[in-house]
Amino acid sequence: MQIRLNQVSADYQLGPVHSPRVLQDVSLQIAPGTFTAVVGPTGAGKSSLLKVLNGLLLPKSGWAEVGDIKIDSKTSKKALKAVRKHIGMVFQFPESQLFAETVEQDISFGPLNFGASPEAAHDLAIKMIRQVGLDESILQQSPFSLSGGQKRRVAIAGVLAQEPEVIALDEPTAGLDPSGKAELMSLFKQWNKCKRLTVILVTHDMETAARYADDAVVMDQGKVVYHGSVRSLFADSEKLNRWQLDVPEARRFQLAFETYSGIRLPNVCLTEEELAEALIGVGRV
Amino acid sequence: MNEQIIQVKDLTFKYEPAKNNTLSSVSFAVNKGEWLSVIGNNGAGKSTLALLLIGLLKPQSGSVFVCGMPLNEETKWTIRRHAGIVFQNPDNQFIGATVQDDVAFGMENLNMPVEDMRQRVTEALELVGMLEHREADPSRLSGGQKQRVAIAGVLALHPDLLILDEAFVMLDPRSRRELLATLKQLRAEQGLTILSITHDMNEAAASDRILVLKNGSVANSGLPADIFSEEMDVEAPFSERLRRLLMSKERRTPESYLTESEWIQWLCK
Repeated sequence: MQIRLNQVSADYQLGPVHSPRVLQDVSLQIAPGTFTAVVGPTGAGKSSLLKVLNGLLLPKSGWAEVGDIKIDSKTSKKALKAVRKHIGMVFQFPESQLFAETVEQDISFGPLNFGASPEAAHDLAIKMIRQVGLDESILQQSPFSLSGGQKRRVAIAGVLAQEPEVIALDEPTAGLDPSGKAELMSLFKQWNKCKRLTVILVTHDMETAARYADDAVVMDQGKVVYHGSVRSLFADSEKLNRWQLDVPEARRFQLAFETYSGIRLPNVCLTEEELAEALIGVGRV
Repeated sequence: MNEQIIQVKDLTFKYEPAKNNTLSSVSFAVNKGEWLSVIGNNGAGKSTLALLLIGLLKPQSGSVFVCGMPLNEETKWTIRRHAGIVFQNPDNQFIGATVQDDVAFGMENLNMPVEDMRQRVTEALELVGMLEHREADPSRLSGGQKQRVAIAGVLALHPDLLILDEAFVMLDPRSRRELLATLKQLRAEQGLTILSITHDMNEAAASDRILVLKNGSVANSGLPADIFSEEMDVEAPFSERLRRLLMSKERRTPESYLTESEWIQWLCK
């Protein structure tokens, strides 16, 4: 499903008070089946960008297009419902959106709301709870009896149960331990590869962006300042510096090593695996 | 001997009588001015420990001393004047209509002259780099900005002990480093003690000592370099992950944990 933003500007309005423009003249095209990381400093407009895609924040000017549905300042609620069926949103701390008496009810809520039969919703719930790495027996428990990491997975299972074509994730692994984080990210990557799910990931964690995403969108003060491959972004130290982005650890190690030793490694290394291979390649380890 | 600001003895806690212990017989102490990282997987009992330290939960057995006082119903209010806590999700801890009201809230209970309060609010917002947003509505801030305001709210109380429960997870790495540098400075100038529950191994590597929790018990405690070399199943900072990866490939590696610059020097030997 094609996603386009054309000269979108937006702000938040509270009564007569407008916030400064959170999005300024943003044009962006995200191809189906891609895995895109949206990065940039806090307050750059990353979360707001996701809200536009889901119709939670309507453009003040310009328009967005999700598949063949157009979203602009006058889009009706009914059209927005159709958009939300295609785009699954995982907000920051999604566990705070759990509400039902049992995990199963929580996961089935979306599918039932979008017209699935109770049997289909039940089967989906079983499938999804396994997908996120939890045991089926958890379905009959109250979501509030679970640990933080488990709650997060249940909330994500609920979004995946709507079988969206696009999933928009806002810091989905904040607060998870490193192994929980790797498991969840691998799950998204797998869905992206096998099911051609389009993944849009807002993160400030450059390690996650470097390891899992193919493309990067850099936002700075409400504007898109870069859209291209993750590797060429991280190869360009000058750009990273300008946009206050961190260099992934493997790349930072590589640069420090190259400066100190005078030896240049053949590739831009984004993960420890790539760095290890490169160091083996130049005969240092 | 160093003055101990936290003493925990045989602390045991479970949420429901029928369930297993969330914490079993946990004992440790934290010196004044120390920066202790508490690490462990989700479900290891880290957040439960934080809630017990501040008296938001009651242990089944064991004792907690904070600033020399035994923690109980009578002392918990006094203790909370000395110890501040910041949680992971800042949305759960906002009260004020503006950023500065929110930061001032904690002080309103302390019978403080308004002028002093104003000054402390300004100072605290300056420390976290949020002074220019003082009039903003907290609910409209980004996740990282909210987290900084929540930290300012606690710093304004001038605590002796700061407990951070994954309080930096929404910050971008640069703000995270800046804030850590600020806290380090407060520690040097005012003897602030920091107990930080974290999954950020770079942060843990930079602290004085690491306490490893596993399944509700203290599995290890020591200098970061020792912990990363000894606890091979604990997630490690980048330089150690590289060492472990090369070890698994049966390559030449340093014998124990090295910092990044030590590693690079080792590579060039």
